Amino acid sequence: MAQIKVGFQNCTNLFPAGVVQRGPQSPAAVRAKVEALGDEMTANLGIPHLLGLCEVYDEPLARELLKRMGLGAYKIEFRPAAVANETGIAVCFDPSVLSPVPGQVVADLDLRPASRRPRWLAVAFEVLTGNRGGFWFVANHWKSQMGGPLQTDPDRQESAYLLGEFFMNRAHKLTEAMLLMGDFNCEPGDRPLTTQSQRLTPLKSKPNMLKSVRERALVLRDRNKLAYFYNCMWSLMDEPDTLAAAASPGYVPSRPMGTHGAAISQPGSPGWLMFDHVMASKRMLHGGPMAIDETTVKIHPPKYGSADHAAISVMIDC
Amino acid sequence: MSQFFNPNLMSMPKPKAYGDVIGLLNDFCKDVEEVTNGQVTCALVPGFVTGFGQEWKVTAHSVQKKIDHILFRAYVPVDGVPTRLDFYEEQMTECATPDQVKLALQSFARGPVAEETLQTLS
Repeated sequence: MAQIKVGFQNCTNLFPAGVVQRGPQSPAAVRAKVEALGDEMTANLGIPHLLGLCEVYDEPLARELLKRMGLGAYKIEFRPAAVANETGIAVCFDPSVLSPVPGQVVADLDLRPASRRPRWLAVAFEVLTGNRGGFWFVANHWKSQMGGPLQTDPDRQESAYLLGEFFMNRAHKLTEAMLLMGDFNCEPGDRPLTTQSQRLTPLKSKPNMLKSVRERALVLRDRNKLAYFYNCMWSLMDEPDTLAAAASPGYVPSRPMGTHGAAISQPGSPGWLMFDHVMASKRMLHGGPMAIDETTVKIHPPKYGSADHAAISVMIDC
Repeated sequence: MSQFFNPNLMSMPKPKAYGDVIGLLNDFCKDVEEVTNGQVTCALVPGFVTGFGQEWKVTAHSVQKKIDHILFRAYVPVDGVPTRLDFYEEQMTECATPDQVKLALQSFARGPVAEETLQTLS
C-alpha cells in the first residue's frame, strides 16, 4: 500500500516587504521569515506530497518557501486575493505522485466575487501511485474572528454553505472523495460548521451546508448524500491525560489540545483553540480506492515562533 | 500498417467476464430508458483509472429537466471481476462473478432510491 502525506500551514502574514503594516517591512525581514517558516515546516512536516498554505501573498513567495524546504520541483495552484492588502491560498504538490485534473480548480471567489480574498481553494487530483483513483483537496482559510464571533460568523457560514453546495452539486460528480484541511477560524462544534439555519438571513435554511460531525456513522450511513464530513479534530480537543497524571513531576502532555490561541504563542500557558481541521467525506474515510489514516492526524506547534498556528498533517492510504 | 500498435488490436478478444459485466451495465442503461419511456437517458461515463479497475459512472440524464445524476459507480477491472459497485452505501458491493453483478443491479433497480430517482428525473 502506498501513502500520501498531506500537510497544511498558516504562514501568518507572509507578505512582500512593506505591503502591509502587519507583514515584514524589509527584504531582509521577508527572507528571514521565509527561512524560519521553511525550516519550521521541514522540521514539523518533513516532506509532504501535498501541502496547503494560507496567508501567503503570492505564488513567488510560496515558491520561495518550497525552495527553502527542498521542494523546488513541486508545482503550485495559487489563488491570490482580490485586493492588495490580503493574502491568497496555495496548494503545492509533488507532480510525480499527484496530477491535477485539468479544469478542476475552484475557489469560493469564483462563487462570491465580491469577497476580498479566497476562503477556500479546491483542486482535484489524480493519484499516480498505489490504488490510483482521484480525490479533491480543499485548502481553507476562513474569515478570522477579529471583530467577534457573532459579527464574523455569517462570513464563515457562507463559506460552509458554498463549500457544501460545491461538494453536493459539482465536486461529487468527479469523485466523492474529498479532504478538507486548513484554518477554519472556528472550532469543530462552532456555529458555522454545525448550524444550517442561521446564515446571513436568520430564518433562511441552507440544507446543503457543510456539516462537521464527530460521529463516523453520520458520514458512512447508507445513501447519505449530504455534505457530512468527519472531523478528526474532535478527538484531539480534550486533555490528553488525567489530572493525576498531569500533576506528576516532569509531565509532558502527549499532544497539544489545539492549533491556535495563547498556548501557541506562550508554550505552557493555557488557552487552546482548535481552529485548524482535517475533515474527510465518506469515500475519503472508508470504502473507496483511498482513505485517510486517522491515527496519523497530527498537530505540530511552531518551534521557532514564525507562525501563530500549528501545522497539521495526515496520511492517505492509497 | 500501424507502426506502433498491434494491427489486430481491435479484434483481440477481451476476457469474457469483462464483456459480460460491461454488457450488464449497458443493459441496465437500456432498461432505464425503457422503463422511463425515453424520458431519462443513461450512459456509462468513464471516470478515474483505479486499482479497483476503470471507474464507470452510470449517469442518468433527464431529457426534459436537463439534469445529470450519477445513479451509481462501477469499478471494472481488466479481467471483469471482481467488479465493485458503489451504490452510496457504507461499503461498495463486491461481485466475484457477472451473475453477482446482475443480482446486485436487480436489487438496486428494485430499491426505493433508484425508483424515486427515476420518477424524479422523468
